[in-house]
Amino acid sequence: MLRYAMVLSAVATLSFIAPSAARAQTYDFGVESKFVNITFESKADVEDILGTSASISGTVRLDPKGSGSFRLVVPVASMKTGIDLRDEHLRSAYWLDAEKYPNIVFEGEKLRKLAEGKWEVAGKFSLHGVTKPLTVTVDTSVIPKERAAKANMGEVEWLRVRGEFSVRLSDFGVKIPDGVVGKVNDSWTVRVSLFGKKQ
Amino acid sequence: MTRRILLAAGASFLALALLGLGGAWAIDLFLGRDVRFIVPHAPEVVELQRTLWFEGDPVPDLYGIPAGETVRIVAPDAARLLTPSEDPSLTLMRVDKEKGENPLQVKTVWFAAQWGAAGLGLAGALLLLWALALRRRPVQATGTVAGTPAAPSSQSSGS
Repeated sequence: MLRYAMVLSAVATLSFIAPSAARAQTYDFGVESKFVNITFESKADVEDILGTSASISGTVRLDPKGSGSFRLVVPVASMKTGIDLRDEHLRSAYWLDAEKYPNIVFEGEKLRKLAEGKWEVAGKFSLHGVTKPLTVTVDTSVIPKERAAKANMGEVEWLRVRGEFSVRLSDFGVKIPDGVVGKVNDSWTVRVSLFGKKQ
Repeated sequence: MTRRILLAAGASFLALALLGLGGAWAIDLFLGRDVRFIVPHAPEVVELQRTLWFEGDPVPDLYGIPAGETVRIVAPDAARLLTPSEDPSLTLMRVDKEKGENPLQVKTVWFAAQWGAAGLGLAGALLLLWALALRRRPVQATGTVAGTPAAPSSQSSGS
């Protein structure tokens, strides 16, 4: 009798938990700049240029069944390379033209779970007024609120996303001026480490 | 006199070209250090990542986003270097681009030295060739000595 009651209780508990665990979750990115780390790297003859941005906005919706959607926006003005004059050039009309195209946007509705903690994200990547399809494989980890609280990140669940992809400037209509050929590479490697707060 | 100036300038340019290359070599040898740049995470994120870390996971990612490869830096600031306890063989260098940090890379020094040496070497060689051309120019039989005026023709005809 006791065993029967325990089994019933377990079934009742599972039936209560399971739907909520399988529910799609939305995570808000860019709530605080310290939880955003984006780098872009170019290898050239003169030097390896490493730049960063700590600014992003947008959300990611993940359905544990293996789908979801996302929209992430990075302002061009937030990109820093460590030299003010170079940053000005980067934002100028010769390069990314921040005045005309202020944001870099990656958005889509094709999220496919490859394995536990590994997702394939396919969407449209917009840079310098040109939009191209982009597919990126990212690593994700759900940070339980208890663990987040221990790291002074507040008592809330977080989603950590890490990924890497390459972008060719020429694909997005950015032509490297003749005077700087050899100083900047057409191909840039972008790496992201982001923490999204559960809404 | 002109020839001597050209010779001295040409030799100086060639010497400077060699000095530049030698300087780059010395900087590379004595001040260069291989590091892996990382754009650091916030302290809270590092603390969290360390609790999530498992042996075998990439160590640099704990502390920041690492650059793709190791970079050789000129005299890196020791305070910016980090040797992770998880892998003491690594030398990471925190670079805060938001604060305008852009450490000088050895490849930049070599780039400047090589182009500088090429320019100075070419200029030096041209100056030396010019000096050589002046030396080989045939002496014209004018009957005058450089620096002294020629005698008036009326005097010579009247004697």
